[in-house]
Amino acid sequence: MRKYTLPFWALAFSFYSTPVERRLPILFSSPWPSPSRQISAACPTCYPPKTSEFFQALKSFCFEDFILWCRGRRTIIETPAALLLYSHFRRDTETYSFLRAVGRGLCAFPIGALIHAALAIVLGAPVGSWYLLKTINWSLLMSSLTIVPVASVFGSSWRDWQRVFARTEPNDLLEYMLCIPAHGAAIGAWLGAWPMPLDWERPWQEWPICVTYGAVTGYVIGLSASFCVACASTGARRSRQKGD
Amino acid sequence: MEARWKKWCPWGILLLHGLAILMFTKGFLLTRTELPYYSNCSDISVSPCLSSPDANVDNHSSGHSENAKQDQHCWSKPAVDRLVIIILDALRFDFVAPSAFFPEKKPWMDKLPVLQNLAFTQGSSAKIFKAIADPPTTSLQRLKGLTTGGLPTFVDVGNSFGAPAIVEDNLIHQLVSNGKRVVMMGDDTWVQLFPDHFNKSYPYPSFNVKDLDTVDNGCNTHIFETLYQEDWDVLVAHFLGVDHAGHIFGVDSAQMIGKLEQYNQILEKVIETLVRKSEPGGLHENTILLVMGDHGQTLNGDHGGGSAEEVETTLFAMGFKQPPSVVPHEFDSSSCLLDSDGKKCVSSIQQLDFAATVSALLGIPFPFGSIGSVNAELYALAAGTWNWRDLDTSNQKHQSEMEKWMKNYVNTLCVNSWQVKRYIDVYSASSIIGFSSEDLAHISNKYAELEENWSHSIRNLLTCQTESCSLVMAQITKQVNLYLDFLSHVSELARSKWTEFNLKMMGIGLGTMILSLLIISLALWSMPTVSGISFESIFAFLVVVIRACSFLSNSFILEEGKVACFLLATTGIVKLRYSIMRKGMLVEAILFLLLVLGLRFTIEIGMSKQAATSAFMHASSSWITGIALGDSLWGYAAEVGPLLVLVVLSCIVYKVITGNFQGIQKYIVMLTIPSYILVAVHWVLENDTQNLPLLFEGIGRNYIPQAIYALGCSQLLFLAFGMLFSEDKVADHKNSLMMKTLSMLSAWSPMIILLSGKQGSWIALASIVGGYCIIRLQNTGKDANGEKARTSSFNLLAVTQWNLLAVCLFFASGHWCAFDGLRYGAAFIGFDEFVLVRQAMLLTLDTFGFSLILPVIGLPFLLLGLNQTNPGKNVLFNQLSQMYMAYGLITATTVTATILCVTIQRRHLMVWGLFAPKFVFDVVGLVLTEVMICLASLFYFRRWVV
Repeated sequence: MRKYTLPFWALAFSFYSTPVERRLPILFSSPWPSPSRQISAACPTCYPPKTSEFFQALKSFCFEDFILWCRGRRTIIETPAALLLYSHFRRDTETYSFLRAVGRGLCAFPIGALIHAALAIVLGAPVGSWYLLKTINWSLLMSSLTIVPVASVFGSSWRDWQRVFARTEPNDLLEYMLCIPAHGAAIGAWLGAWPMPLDWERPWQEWPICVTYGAVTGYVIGLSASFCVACASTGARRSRQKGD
Repeated sequence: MEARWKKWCPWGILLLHGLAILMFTKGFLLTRTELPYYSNCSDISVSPCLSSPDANVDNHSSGHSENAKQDQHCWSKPAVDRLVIIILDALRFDFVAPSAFFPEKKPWMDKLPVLQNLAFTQGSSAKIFKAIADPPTTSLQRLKGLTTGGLPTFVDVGNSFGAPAIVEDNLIHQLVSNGKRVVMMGDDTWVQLFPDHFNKSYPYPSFNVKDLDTVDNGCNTHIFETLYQEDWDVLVAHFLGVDHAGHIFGVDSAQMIGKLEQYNQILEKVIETLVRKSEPGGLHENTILLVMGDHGQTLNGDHGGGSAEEVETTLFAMGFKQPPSVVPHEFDSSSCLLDSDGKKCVSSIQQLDFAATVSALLGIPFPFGSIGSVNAELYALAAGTWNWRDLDTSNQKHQSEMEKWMKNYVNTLCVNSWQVKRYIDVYSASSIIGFSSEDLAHISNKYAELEENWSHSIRNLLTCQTESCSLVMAQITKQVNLYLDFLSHVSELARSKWTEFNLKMMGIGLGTMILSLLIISLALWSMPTVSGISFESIFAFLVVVIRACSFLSNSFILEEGKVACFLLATTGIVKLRYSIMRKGMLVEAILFLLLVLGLRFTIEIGMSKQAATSAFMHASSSWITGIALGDSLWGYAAEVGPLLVLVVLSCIVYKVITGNFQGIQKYIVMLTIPSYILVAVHWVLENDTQNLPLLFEGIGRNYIPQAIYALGCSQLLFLAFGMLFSEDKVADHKNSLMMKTLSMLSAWSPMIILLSGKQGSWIALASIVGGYCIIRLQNTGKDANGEKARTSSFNLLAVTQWNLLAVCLFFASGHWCAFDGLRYGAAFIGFDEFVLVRQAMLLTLDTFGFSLILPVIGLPFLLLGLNQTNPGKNVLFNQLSQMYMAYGLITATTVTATILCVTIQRRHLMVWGLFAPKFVFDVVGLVLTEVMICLASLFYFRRWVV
């Protein structure tokens, strides 16, 4: 029991250690000025940027801004914590070492981000150079909430992946803790997209801020739910053992 | 027996919904027919009134040389030469009226002191009126109302097809046709309404709500130089700043007060200029100045509805010659109050009366559709309505002047009543939905009584010249009161017909819709073959409910295409999850998501087009607009792409036909391929007409589309007759159903593709791919274990997806739910001249072809794609009728949500701009869907149920 509650506490701590409101502005401020400020600037015809400008911006982002930009981003703190913890509880302990589990988690990180970004764009996430960084940032966060833990634990075992994600049939406590928060994050992000079209003109309606609020809230709810399920089922098991 | 009952089910639903919609529409969408008639100067000879009362009344001046000029007047004697109308958009009553009239002094009050000072100076000829507007209080409708003197409704049925220009008789038209020169400056709405009426115009763009100054500064630069010029008779200056400041910052804001202070300065300068030029013989000797609002606004800056704040605006009138006396107290509508500075009076006027009063002042015919009356106080304010010559204001002189004025006024009212009666008669004769017969009879009785009184006594009194007729004041006053009573009766009747929602009717309509939804869903639920509660059906239900609820907010209606796409993508993701679970159809699931991605971008392009024309959208920030379409490569791709896709479509059709059909049916269906080729030829010819001989140009423009229509219609006719006379005793009902569906689809598709333009082939391909994916994916959701038990059920989620895909196609093909979203060009493909029914049919086919007609016709494919071994004909029939019922239910649910939303938001700022067009589109869509369902069930079910 203790073995399984450890990751929960660790994750909960890493989430609640800084308040979301204070963290999010840091998280989503990109190294560029915000697009809305750019439109209202003196040159409205300059918007949207030309393709060449976009590549230039991308280049400068890759070589100069990225390091700066990464500093203090919560994905960067969160991911190693999740990675290390879940790698510790990897499924096939005999064949795979801890480091290998970390390695496959790291590999899954960008792949998961890619999947999330693709799905978000299909659903209607804005596309364009202004939103590129934000989309990358959001999808990395989503990846660290959903894909990375599962990759660390299961590796490339397709059957387990299928069972947890497609069928939603978790078997034991660890799988509950992988499955429910991941689903919570996805559903939360989906629900979080709904305020975006409203004409309230609040800064948090910008992509992907409210979607991230939704995802994080869903994840936290999922974690709490899985904790409750864990408690309930261990309690039931204990009483059954006593009965035996 | 039961089967026969089921056969009539779609017709019953159609009837029920039709009735409900009719009831609701009758209560909500007030309609009025625009009449194409115009008033003329010569019409006056038909009226019982005196054509020139002054010639008889005032024969002392007959020797004057200017009398000849005066005799040329039209319906009434011109009282003013020039008119300056300054419209301050959304001018609240409390901006102008003194704060003492209100319980509390607010920061925005008393900011136009120049008007107050003039109005309350003893003996001045300026007056402040409280002007009551009629809803809808939006600028366009109000300007229309002010100039036509009518009550414009949301749907003014007329022969204007798209353009907002006023086709009814109106003040500006009368001015122009009577030789008055009109100058306009400010809001460009005027130029849209009156495209070629103005001698000079200085329009400024009005749609950018955040821009407080462009229009006002434009007016400011032109108004003063214009005031010094002689080449105009009527000046209209429309300032927009207060309206925009209200929309953005609200009434209680520094910007609003700044705007009002700016206006105060401008008005001060304008009045100073006019006064300086108003000496005898001066440019503005006989000018009248009107400063007015077109409507009010709430404290938040909203307007459009009928609340007191929105309808109460103001009118400040000032003549530059002093009239000798005030109107008789019977006609004095003013409410006065005494404060430390003396007595202050504010009168009241209906905006409806504006057109008639101004026409009477300028001596032009009243607009044909005007139902207002000539307002006594405003009319008396113009010195020219008095025959006063010297400033001797002794009591006796005053008495006789008053009498003369009354004689003049009663004759004007006579003309006014005659004109209103004429309009009411012509309107009820030519409009489909006229007034009720009791009301008409009541009006006629009243008017007959008036006329009798007029022609027997008053007319003679007016024309008699002996001293014995001098004591007729009481009689004239009585007659004037009768006229005013008649006119107010007519305007009240018109108001109740054209401006008030009938809440009872709306409630009945909405209630019927909700009831019918409950009945249909219960019926669907109780059908034996429908599966019980599964995750998929709950999810489908949720999707439909979420989409319906999203219509409660105007933001979601604006983004409806994106919302539908979002939900479609969500169902696609759920299907992807299923396909991963079942390890099958992964390709279809991913293909479907890619299709949704493509649709998403197409919808965004469509919305950016909408943003260019709609005032409600801010400039879209879509990156796609950045792709330069003028690029030669893109241009080339845009030319060739549709043709290639058309070739692909033809190949698909050919393959399908040769694989399935035999005999004569095969050749009928084969006609689709030449139709496709003709579409391609039409597009090619359309591109480079200048390189071709004239003969081909003519053929390409009209004959080819007409040939396509003819081919399509003959195919449909053949199919219908074939169905009537063929004895199909086929054993394989699945195959027979498939052949019917295919032949229907192939008959409709060339016409719809042609009408949609070059995007049509892409959209057709997208609908084929999307439909294929949905059909294939519907089998993934079934549980592997419990499958046998539920083989005969259809998939509710798939039907929902089918519906969502159709909605997405509507938006992706460049439509949106507004009247500027109709593609009027499509109505003229193949035809040059306008015939209402034909062009309306083409327009409907273009608007709803991909989103409604093809999906309903193609729905049987969804059933055929189910993994079921050859079912009996009754089973198949039951399933199909349920599927159609479910499809109709999904459409009806969203429409009911729209109706509910319209009911709730009927006083919303955007009710006429956004909710009402959406309502019209949805309702037309629902009725069309259900008609198509009925026709489809006739076609597909025949021979199965005998």
